[in-house]
Amino acid sequence: MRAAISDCYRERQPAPGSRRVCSVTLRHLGRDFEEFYQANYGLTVALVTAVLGNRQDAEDVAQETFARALARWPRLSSYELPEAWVRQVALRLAVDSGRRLRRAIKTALRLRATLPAEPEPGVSLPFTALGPALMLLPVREREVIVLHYFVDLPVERIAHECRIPAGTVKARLVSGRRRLERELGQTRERMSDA
Amino acid sequence: MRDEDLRAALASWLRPARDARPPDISVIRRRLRRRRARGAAAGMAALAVAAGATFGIGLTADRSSPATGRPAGTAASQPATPTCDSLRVFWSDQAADTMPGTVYALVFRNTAARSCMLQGWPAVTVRGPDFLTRLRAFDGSASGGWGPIEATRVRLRPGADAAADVQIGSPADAAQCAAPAWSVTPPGGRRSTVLHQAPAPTGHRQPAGPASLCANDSIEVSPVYPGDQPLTSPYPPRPAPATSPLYPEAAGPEPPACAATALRARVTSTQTGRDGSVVILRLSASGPGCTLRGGIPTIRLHEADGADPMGKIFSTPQSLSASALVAYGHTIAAPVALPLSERTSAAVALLLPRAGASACGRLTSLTVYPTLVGLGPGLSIGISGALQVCRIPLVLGFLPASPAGQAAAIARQALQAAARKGL
Repeated sequence: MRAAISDCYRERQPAPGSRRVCSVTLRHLGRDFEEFYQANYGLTVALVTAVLGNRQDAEDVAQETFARALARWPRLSSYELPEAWVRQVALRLAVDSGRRLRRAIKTALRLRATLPAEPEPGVSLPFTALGPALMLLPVREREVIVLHYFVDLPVERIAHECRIPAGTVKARLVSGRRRLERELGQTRERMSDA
Repeated sequence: MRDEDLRAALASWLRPARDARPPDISVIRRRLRRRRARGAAAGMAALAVAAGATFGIGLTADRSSPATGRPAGTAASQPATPTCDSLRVFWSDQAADTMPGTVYALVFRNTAARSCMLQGWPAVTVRGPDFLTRLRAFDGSASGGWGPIEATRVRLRPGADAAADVQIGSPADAAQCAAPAWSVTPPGGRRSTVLHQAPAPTGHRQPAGPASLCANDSIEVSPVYPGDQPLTSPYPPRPAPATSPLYPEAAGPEPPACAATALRARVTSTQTGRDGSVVILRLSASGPGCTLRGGIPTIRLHEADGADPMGKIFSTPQSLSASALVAYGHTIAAPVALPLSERTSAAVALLLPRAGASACGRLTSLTVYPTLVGLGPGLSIGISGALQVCRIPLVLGFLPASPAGQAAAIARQALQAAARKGL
């Protein structure tokens, strides 16, 4: 357990003649930022990669997210699930970047054009097609698909984290699955033709 | 498409990303610093625009840099002086118990062969088994028991010292204590020194540096000041303000402060009762006149088992009204002074409460410091007899030594008051 960045980082304009000392309160934290970072970095990168389809952008978003988490760690560490905060911020950063999303769609279209690819042994779905197919979903559907099927969050938890009704989550899951089926079906057809 | 297939496909696709090795934590820290720098620049620009002022030197001249506390404008406006790049950093053996907490001094000794300059706050990181806190210079008000210390330029000759105060205030219900490692980077320096708190060897009376930190402790770090200045005093020294309205102004020039070496001390009486023991000491000047400043002495007790507790300040209405101190225009940090000469003396009352205590230690000797803080040499006084230290010892302010018995009566009343308060 370590890492409480104190309020001492908040610098203020000195008042003339004011006493200039540094005052903080030590807070013994239940969690260590570095451990938290080590444990959650990969998952965050993967989550954002699933949304953006681009590993470099995902790493950039993940690092930005953890920098923000570090700045808020004294408060964040007291949360029951600080990783939920990280997920939300990472997804928001990913989704808010129109540039990244446009690049994601371009990548998806380019990758789709280059399919078929060899499926991984033991995986019935042509998983290499999954990324491009996922990128062509509306971003909100993509988010819930990834949170549910990759992060394994239940519908209620996704609803809580995304601040939407559970019914909306279910609807997005259903429609996202449907679109994915369609995209992957087309991919299967192309693979069998090949 | 089955759920399992979708899960497996997502897991396979994202496995390389999930297994990504995180970059070193310093990458995240750097990123955070950049974010803050951008935010600060944006804030300053907004401020300048809002004020209709030109964003430039005028606005930033008095602003201290976060890491060093050095005014940003000094580089251009002051002559180039070598910064201190060869310093030995260590805790001073000195510490002072004050009302807000215990004050320790970090010492920066110039080990180079040439003089150098220090200015600003040291960067201090406290790392314990379950916390890490960084202390940086910032400007703000703070509650404390010593006067303001300004971030002035300190010139260090070879071998000379600068110091920075570290005041640690502990709540009454200290818990979750741990022995931390202090990482200290001198102002303007790049190399940090890690100071561990070594366990105090047997018989070691005052370990250098704080032994431990507890949850909710508060820490205040001052800028550096010349090492020959006394701990817990304002720096630079302030001119004397108007006299205190509480005490009559003394006539004539103020005698110098009493050093322990210029004093004599002896035990005049010890009394033990149901609530504990009272020890009355008498202080008198051994040479020319001097003044006891601060109004309250500091007493360190030495027990047979090696414990060295410090007496805590205590007062009652009777003890306060009996203190016959006069003012020489002192500041709030040292509001009053008591002139001593060969003919006049002062009494010091030490209370040893015992009510309800089960474990006690035998008092063997005392070290009395004639000031509010226990610094420098003290007066050692041996204690004969079986006086027991069971609870926190208490010290009253200087009392008149005459009439005889008055100080002891006030001390007994104070001991009863302490027992009523559960001290």
